[in-house]
Amino acid sequence: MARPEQCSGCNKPTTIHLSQIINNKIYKLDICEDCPLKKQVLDQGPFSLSEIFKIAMPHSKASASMVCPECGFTLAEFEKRGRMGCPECYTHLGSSIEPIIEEMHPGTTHAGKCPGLSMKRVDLHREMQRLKQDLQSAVQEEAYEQAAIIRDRIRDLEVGIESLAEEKAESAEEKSGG
Amino acid sequence: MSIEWLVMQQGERKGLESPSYPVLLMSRIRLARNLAGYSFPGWAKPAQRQAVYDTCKEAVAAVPQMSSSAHFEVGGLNDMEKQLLVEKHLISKELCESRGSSGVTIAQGQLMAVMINEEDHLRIQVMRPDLDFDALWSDSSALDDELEKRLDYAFSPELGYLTACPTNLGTALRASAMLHLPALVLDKQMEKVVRAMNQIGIVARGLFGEASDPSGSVFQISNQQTLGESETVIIRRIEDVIRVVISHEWKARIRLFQGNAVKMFDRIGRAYGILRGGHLITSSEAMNLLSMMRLASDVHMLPVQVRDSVDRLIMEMQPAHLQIGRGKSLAPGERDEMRADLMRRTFTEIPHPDPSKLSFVDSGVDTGTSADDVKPDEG
Ligand SMILES: [Zn+2]
Ligand SMILES: [Zn+2]
Repeated sequence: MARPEQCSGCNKPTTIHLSQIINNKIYKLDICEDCPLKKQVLDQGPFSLSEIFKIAMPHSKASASMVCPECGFTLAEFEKRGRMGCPECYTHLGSSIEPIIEEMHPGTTHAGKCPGLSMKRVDLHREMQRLKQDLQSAVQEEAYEQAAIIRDRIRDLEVGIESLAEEKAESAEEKSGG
Repeated sequence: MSIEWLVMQQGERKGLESPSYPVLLMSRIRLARNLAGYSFPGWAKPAQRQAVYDTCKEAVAAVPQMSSSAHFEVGGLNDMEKQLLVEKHLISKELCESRGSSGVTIAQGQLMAVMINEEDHLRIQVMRPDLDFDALWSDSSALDDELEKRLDYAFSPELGYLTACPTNLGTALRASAMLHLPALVLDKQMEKVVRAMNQIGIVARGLFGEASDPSGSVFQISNQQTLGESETVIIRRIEDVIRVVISHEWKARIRLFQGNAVKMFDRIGRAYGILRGGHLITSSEAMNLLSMMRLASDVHMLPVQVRDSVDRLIMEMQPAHLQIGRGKSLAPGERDEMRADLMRRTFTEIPHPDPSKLSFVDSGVDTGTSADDVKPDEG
């Protein structure tokens, strides 16, 4: 693979090429002689977020222009702020920041507390979205029998979502009342 | 609800709790939570921020833990009031600078607070004067459960609680303790301690003054990693580390007093002298002097109650506390004068540090005969 000609830090021509192995992954960094990034990288200083973003972010124009359809946030924006735009960004842009997450944390899979009702609800909403898409394509393909089956399942799911909302309201009342 | 509520409750906060503890000033757990379907506060449009604020504020007010609480909208506070809340560790500087539609609900006793629209939609925090992360976790998790009944959290089975910053993913839990480590600083061991902590994902930073020269030797120690381990594992590790640091601090204290007792007595005596007789004291100088008084109290050269006074003074001598106490804003020079007055008034009531009372009984370290090397016989 050809070495990038532009510095990862400031877009000047590169003169220094580093690779670093973190958690069995190779991160390549190409920087210029007088880059502000150079000092940060060469000093093995304490954990700094922006450095790691810069090292770990895959540098391709395609990924930088990736957009979260929920909130319009881009990966380029993430590189600037180090913060995501909305929870759904993790679904749509998540694959690009995986190396950062791996680098930062001891694991990549949640091992702690889970919210009970919210999680059920999120699952039902996801299922609903999937069914609606299926319904649309069934209608487009004029597969009306199939569409009818999907419609029934959507109706069942709506009932499920409603009863979950009630359950939630009740448990909230119960707790604050008692 | 007015800011006076907070000032008036100040005594109560201290009054409620058990006495202060050697080395430890405070421990805290913070949980970050966000609502599904809304942009994070830093990216949300004003209307969305407002919608999140209203929803969260209502939910927080409805939970039983907040049945007696006060809510402050940041936009409704002046700079001095905001600063007061920062000095009390109830809100962050980031919340002060937020773009509107943000606030904090503070429970009675000021040991529990929920920030709305800081970096995340919700920041739940619970504090204690002692070191008991199990209790902090159980209190913060119970508050979290109550909120979750009323709100739809953004959560993914893989990444856990979804947060604005990827550093908080997973448990979104930050456990921290404020430690007073004057002997490790004097003994020039802090750098080594900090480096060792960093290697296991725990960070330490000076709480007052500059990063390079933390005044008062007060450090905040907290976990950096949140994903891939359970809350219990995280808090167990940090509590273990904090206990080790506390025991290192005690060993360094014993070593310092053994190595050159007169030098330590002199440091403490001079600090006392300035606090009792000074007329102009900056906040950084005051932190360093009070640090010596806390140390003197930990080693029984001063009565243990002095430690409570020191902790109260650390809070009350800060700019916003001083100015709100006086009811007007003061120039820095005037503040230094008021601060010195406050110290003189307090220390007039406090006896001179007594080297003959030196004792490491609270250290939990077996000092054997060595402590007696510096401790005059009580006979
Ligand atoms: Zn450069
Ligand atoms: Zn998004």
